[in-house]
Formats: sequence, structure tokens, C-alpha cells
Amino acid sequence: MWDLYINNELVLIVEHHCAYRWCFLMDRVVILGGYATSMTDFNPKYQFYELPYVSSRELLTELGIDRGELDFIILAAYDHLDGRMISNMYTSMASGGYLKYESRVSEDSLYALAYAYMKIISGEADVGLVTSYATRETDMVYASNLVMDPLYYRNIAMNYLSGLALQASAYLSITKLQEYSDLIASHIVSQQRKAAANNPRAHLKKPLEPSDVISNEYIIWPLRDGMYPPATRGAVSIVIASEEYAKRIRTDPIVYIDSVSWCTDGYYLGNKLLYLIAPLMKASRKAYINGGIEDPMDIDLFLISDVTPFHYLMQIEALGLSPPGRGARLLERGEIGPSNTRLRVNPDGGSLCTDPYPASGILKLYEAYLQLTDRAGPIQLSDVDKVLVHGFSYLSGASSQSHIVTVLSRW
Amino acid sequence: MEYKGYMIIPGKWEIEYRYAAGEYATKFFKGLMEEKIYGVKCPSCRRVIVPPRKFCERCFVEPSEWIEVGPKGELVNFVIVYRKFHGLPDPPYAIGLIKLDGADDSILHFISEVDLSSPYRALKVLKPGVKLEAVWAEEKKGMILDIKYFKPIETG
Amino acid sequence: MVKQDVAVVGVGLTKMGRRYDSNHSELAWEAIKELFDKTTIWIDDVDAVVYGTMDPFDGIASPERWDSSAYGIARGAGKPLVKVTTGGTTGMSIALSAYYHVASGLYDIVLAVGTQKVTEPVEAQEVLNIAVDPLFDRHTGVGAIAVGAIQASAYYFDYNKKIEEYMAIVASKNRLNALRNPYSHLKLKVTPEEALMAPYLIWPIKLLDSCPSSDGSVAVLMASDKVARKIFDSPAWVSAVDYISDTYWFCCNKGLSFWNSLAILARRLYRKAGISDPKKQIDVFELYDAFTIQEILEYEALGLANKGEGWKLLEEEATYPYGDYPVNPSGGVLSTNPVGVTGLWRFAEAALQVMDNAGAHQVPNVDIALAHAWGGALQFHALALLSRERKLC
Repeated sequence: MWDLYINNELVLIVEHHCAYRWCFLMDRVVILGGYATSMTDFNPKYQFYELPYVSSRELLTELGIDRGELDFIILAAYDHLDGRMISNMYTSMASGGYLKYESRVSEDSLYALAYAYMKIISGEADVGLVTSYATRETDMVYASNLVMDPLYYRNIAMNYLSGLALQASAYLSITKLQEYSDLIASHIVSQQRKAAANNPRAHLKKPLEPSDVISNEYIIWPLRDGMYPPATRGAVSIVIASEEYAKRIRTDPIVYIDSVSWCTDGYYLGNKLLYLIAPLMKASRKAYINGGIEDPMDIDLFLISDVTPFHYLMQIEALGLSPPGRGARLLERGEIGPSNTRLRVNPDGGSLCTDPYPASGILKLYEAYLQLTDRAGPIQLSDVDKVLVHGFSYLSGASSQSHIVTVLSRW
Repeated sequence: MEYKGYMIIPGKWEIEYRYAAGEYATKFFKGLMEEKIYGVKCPSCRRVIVPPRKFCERCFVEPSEWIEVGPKGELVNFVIVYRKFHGLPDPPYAIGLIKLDGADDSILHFISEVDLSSPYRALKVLKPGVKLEAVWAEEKKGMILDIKYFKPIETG
Repeated sequence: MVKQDVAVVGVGLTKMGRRYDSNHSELAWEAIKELFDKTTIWIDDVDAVVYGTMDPFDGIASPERWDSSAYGIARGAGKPLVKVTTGGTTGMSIALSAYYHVASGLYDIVLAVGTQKVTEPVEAQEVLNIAVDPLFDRHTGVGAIAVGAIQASAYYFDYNKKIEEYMAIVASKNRLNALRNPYSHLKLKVTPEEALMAPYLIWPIKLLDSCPSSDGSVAVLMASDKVARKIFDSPAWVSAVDYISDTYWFCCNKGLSFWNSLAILARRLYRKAGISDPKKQIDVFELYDAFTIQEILEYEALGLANKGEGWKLLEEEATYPYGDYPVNPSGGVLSTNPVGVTGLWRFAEAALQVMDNAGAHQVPNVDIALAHAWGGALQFHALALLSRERKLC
């Protein structure tokens, strides 16, 4: 594992009191199942709150759980993406929340999972539903401009794409990879698109060659078209429960949540090292410790929010899978890829091919669940016992602020 | 602009949306264009839901039986607006919950053709249970305002 | 039984009101500074932060990121932060989420914070109109006031044609209470007669029946049983919390003249906490009274009065600070409403009462306090019970 000590300002200290945290593995939380609607472009087939209804209803039917059994509902959504303030007024009903405990986070949906996880390990609840959806009823670039403070960044037309591009450009300049930027990025995009072509649940299924990607227009240098997530519409629901509850209704392989950990860094761009995803480093180290993982290489599969090909590399490094700045070498040596490689990352195509933000996090969690229960279909990998899922609230904040990591395992 | 020596920077939030109507609202709005109001019946609790929606939040099942309701109904409750709010209609106007004949759920709409100049005058006509009927807009656009407003039905 | 018991060990408040003198993140900083000035620990000791606000009011979609620097997020490599938002209940949702952060055993010291600037939108009601369904309801211009008015009109027809007079008593009572609270926004010395003479906004709600638009920030420090007493020697223990989500749609038995969903939730919470007689056992109530009628409806739903008889408590002056069931000694929401953090403020005020730290509006001998918030289309409720004793039963 790699830890970074960068002068006195930014020091990552791993807390080494594992013994104390370990006791929480005693009562564990289980993923009972998930459901994702088809992932498509915007279409008006459903009203916005009908989407989470479809995913929740299908999931409860599939699991044979009555709405009445649920102890709580946690949602993830942003009001300004939904165009309705307090949009959970509608979606909480649509997810089966009538007369139930309900709450909502405005973050990536893995944060909603974290809330649900805490609610269950606190001992107050047994089973709950986590739902998120993306309607794509508005333009996310403009909507993300409104995330910025009105005094400094908003008038500079800052938005989530320019934030991601800023990080990419900082990464390219510190690693001196500017010349190879297209080569590396097109390789990653094409590799992910080819993976998605095999995935019946992916949004963009058309495979691309690296040359296709390089011939695309720049949208915000160094990002070209195809190097950022598509606008995917869809909804995902997950049911999680205490181990005791799960054993009562299930006999097949059980998927456990070993740990969930999250971290956010500061807002001002001038105040942080853009090429280092420090919050992800901190969150992942804590998730490893809480999940009893000594070496992240032991994890069989990584499902990360690769929102740009450069973030693919930065996040691989932040997770401790490669020395900082050397992520591209793993690619060169063929050690990293969607399948048949030493490190297996995003066999589903990842965020570059399917991104129903903010449902992206639990969509990955659903993919992980499918892999762990041998139900992933054409993209099923062999020997998957431990999976890391990474979520990224990229719409909130100026540049890479919030990351969340969860480790799942099959017992 | 300044306030006690501190600057105030003007700003605005305008986001464009394309609200998807989905199957149920589409059928409802198409119905309005033909001066018909549709509701759906929950197969489990048998409530007739207007405006129609894809699920009954209590039974959590999908209603499939379409039922024509209204255009007459009764007033469940109402309020009368006397203050001008920026960006909202000019007062006075009344907003009411109307339970259409044959429906179990109420829809929210304007109530007009009542003297609203003071609550006392309005209360002579408006009270829960008063019969209302829909007044249709001349030009239909496939939206909720195709019903222009509801008005009390003259009785005897 | 939760994994760790949770206690409130510190509260930081800003002066609420029209705060054009500071921007969003500065206001956030003010509450944090006030909190840590009075506490033995420092921001670096905080394990995680829970933030909430009701977005469109501030004209910033995710103000927590801008504010995050004020919460010590930018120190070192960062800190866990999550943003919750559920409309009017947002403030209580922050407290509830922070509660589960600690109760789960994942964190020991959690900062629950919220900052909201409701005076920044030119018209708050226009913003609230965005909340209602754009396909079916938005055209009517319905906002929060209309929603409160619909309750008052239902009560008028169902129970009491003189309800406006009792609403005026609530308006006067809570405004007078606010005079003793240095943090509250409106400082109005109003009599019930004056409140009754105020012009109508939306019949039957008059100007003084309605809450103001305020700016403000609230920070509450919560800690586990392991560390709570080290930080503050008589903390307010969180005995029970719960939340309910009713339907958005105004179907016929949602309950306009009686708040069904709050009544259900209150029974649920009392059972969980072992409260058999709320009238006797709970010493003070901090309720979300955005409109005067709501305080009366809340008396009934919480079991302080029978259905349709809440107004009688006002005749008996039972809910005045010196009465049997003091309600909103802080001045309540009628005096101050920074929407998204109002719920957290109710929670903080209830905690302050239990910690004997409320200052001039302290009610004597408080052992148990109840905090409440409602939100959405009269559909969400959150309740939290705070107590001096770690175990209630």
C-alpha cells in the first residue's frame, strides 16, 4: 500500500487501531438483492417518480418481500436535477416509503447505502431499501454550475466537466504524460467500450477503437467526446438487511458489506493537489482496515467511478494499486483491464459507458452483487470473492471532493 | 446594491427542464384535450386515484383500470390568496382541493367565479362540500390548465 | 438498543435573521466558532460531519461544499461528510443521520451542521412553488403558506369557527417568548388582538400567523457514551428518534384538520422510548410551528390535547413557558425560520433545555424534551426525545 507524505500540509495518516474497529464485523450487513431498470438515453416513458417505482416494485417482487416489511427507505437524489424541490416528496412514496422512516442524501447513491448500513448496524432496523435514479430531464453541465459558490467560481463557468478536466490536466502535467494523453485515454475508453459491448445492462454498447476516440472533438481539453460519462437514464434499487434477517429468508450465497468508508476534501481548488485524490486515499485505507484487508491486491474485482480515463488512473493509484503517477505502466504491461488481467477493473464498462448519476454508485454495487452471486451473465468473471465498489459525488463541489468506498465479500 | 456597507450581488437561477409525463399523465392530459378527466382504480384498495399515477402508494401496486371522473365534484378544502407573491399569480384567487365525482383522491385547482374580495363574502359561497364543475380552456394545450378553473354550480 | 448511546455535548448558534453581512460559508463558520469556543475539544477531534440545507433557497445547489472549509474538511486529507436534504425536516434529518453515525459505532464524535440563507431569494414563496408537482399542481402557485392555510381552513370547518382567535394567541405567545432569546429573528411585542387585526396573506392565515424568512446556521456536536462525559459533564442524551413519510398527494384521509402522520409517529416514538404519558413525562416541547395553526394541530397529534380541542390549552395558558407543557419557549419557528436548519435548531434548543444551558428562556427542571420538525406537503415528520438520564426506562 502506498501512503503519501507531502510536506506538512497534506499528510495521510492511517489509523492503526484495527482491533477496536474489528469488533463491528460481528454483526454484519447483507445485500439481499438489487434491480436496475434498463439504462437508456432520456425518454419520456416514465414520469420522474415512476422510475424509482419500477425498480423498487420489481425488486420487492423478485425478493418476495412485502412493502410492509421494510423498516426504512433511503434515497439519493438532487433537487436541481429533478426540477422539483424536495423531490423525495414523490420518490419516497414511489419507493414504498408510505408511513415509513425515510431520508435522502444529495450525494452519489453509495452514500445512501452508507446511511442504510449505519441504520442496520446500529441495531434499530433489520431491512431497508436504497433507491436512486437519473431522469436526465435537465442539462447536468449547467446544473453543476449552480453547485458553485455565486461569488467566485460560478461566474467563471466552473462546472463538473471543467472540474474533472482540471484534475486531468494537473495529472498529465505532474506525470509529464501530456504527449501521451490521447494514447492513454483512447486506450482506456476503447477498452471500457469493448467491455460494455458484452454487457447487456450497459448504456453505450457500441464498441470503439482507440482511433475513433482520438478523432473525436475536444470538449474541454484534455477531454474529448467519449472521455466523460454519458447521460444515462435509469433507476436502481438495493435491499440490504441484517445477517439474521437474511438467513431467515435466503439460503443461497450471501453477499456481505465488510466496510463502508467515505471522505470529502476542501472546496477551494487552489488549496489542494488536484492530481492526488486524497479523499479516496483516506477513505480506501479506512475501508481496508475496517474490512480486514491487508493488501488491496487481494481484492478480486474493482468497480470504480472512472468518470474520465484520467480518473481511471488517478483512482487506481489512490486505491493503492499502483505507485502514484505510475498507473499508466500497469496499462502498458497489460496488468490492468476489465477481465483476464491481474487487476480486474470495471468488467461492466464502468462509468464511461453507463452513468445514471447519482444512481451510479448503487448500480456498481448491483454489478458487484451479480458478480459475487455468479449472475452477471456474459461478463461474469471467475473466482470473485471480494469486490471493492467506489462511488464519487462528482456533481457536488468544485473538483473531486467526495469519494466513498465499500468492500463486499461472499461467504 | 449595498446593505450596511456590505455588497449584495444580484443573481438568478433559471434551469430549463423537459418534464417527462409518462404513460399515466400522458393519458390524463390527452383526456383533458377532449374535455374528459380520467382516474385510475387501485386493484387492491379500490380507491380511484385522480390525477392518475403509476402506483398506489399504500398497496404499492400498479392500477390498470381507467375510469372517467368529474367534471363535477365537491370542494374538500380551499384557501384564498390575498398577497401578491413575486412570480406567482395576482391576488385575490382561491385554490382548492376538489374531489371529483367518482374519485377518492382530490385534485388541486383554482376556484373562480366567486366574490373573493373578502373572506367573509367568499365564505358565503365556498365551504367544504360545495358542488363545483370544471370550466374548460378554449384552447387546449395538453396541460393541467386545460381545465381553466372550477366554479360553483348554481343550485335552485 | 443501539450499539452506542448518543449524547449532545455542544451547540453553536448564530444570530438568526437578515444576515446580509456575511456570505454562506462565513455564516457556517460563525456557528462552528461559537460551538468550539464553548467546548473542550477542537474541530480536528471531530470524526465526521453531517450537513443539511434545503438547496434552492440559497441559490447554490450544494452549498455544503463551499461551506465545508468552515467544518475543518480542508484540514489534512479531508473528513467524512454527507449531505442530507428532506425539505422542512432537513434540520432534524441532519440530527437523525448524525445520531446513526454515532449509534452505529462507526464514529464517536460527529458534527451535525446546517446553514441556510432564506433571505437571499427575492421571493421565498416562489422558490417553494418549485416543490409542487410541475405537471399537476404548480400552476396554482401553491407554496408553504397555502399549505398552512389549507390546514387552518380545514380546522375552521371541522372543529372551531373561532380558530383564528386562538391562532392569534399562539402568534403572540411565541413572539413574546422570542424576546428572551438572543438568537431569534423577530423581536415583536404583539398582543393576540394585534395578531388578529393583521392583514390576510392567504385566508385564514394572516401576516402574524406566519413565520419569517431568516438566515442562520446551527452546529450540534454529538458524541458516543465513551467520550460524551469527557466533553460535557451533563450532556443531553438522545433517547429515541424516528421519522415518518406520508403521501404527497392530498387524498381524502391524509388528515388536514388532524395531523394523522404526526400522531402515528408520536405513538411510535413514545413506545420506543417507554413514554406512557407524554403530558406528565415530557417537560418541554420544541415544535415546528411554521404557521400558528400547526402548533395547535401538534398539541393534538402529540397527545397533549384531544382531537379538535388543542385550542383549549391556550385558554388555560398550559403551553406558556410557565404552564404545564411549555411549547416553544425559544420563540419557535414563528419567530425564526431558516428553513433547512430550523429542525436542527429545534433539536439544539431541546438539548439546551435538558443541559440547563438555554439562558434566559430556560424552563426550570427539564428532564425530558421533545423536538419536532415537519416538511414536504405536510407529509414528513421527525421527532427526537432528549433526556438528562442516559437510560429512560
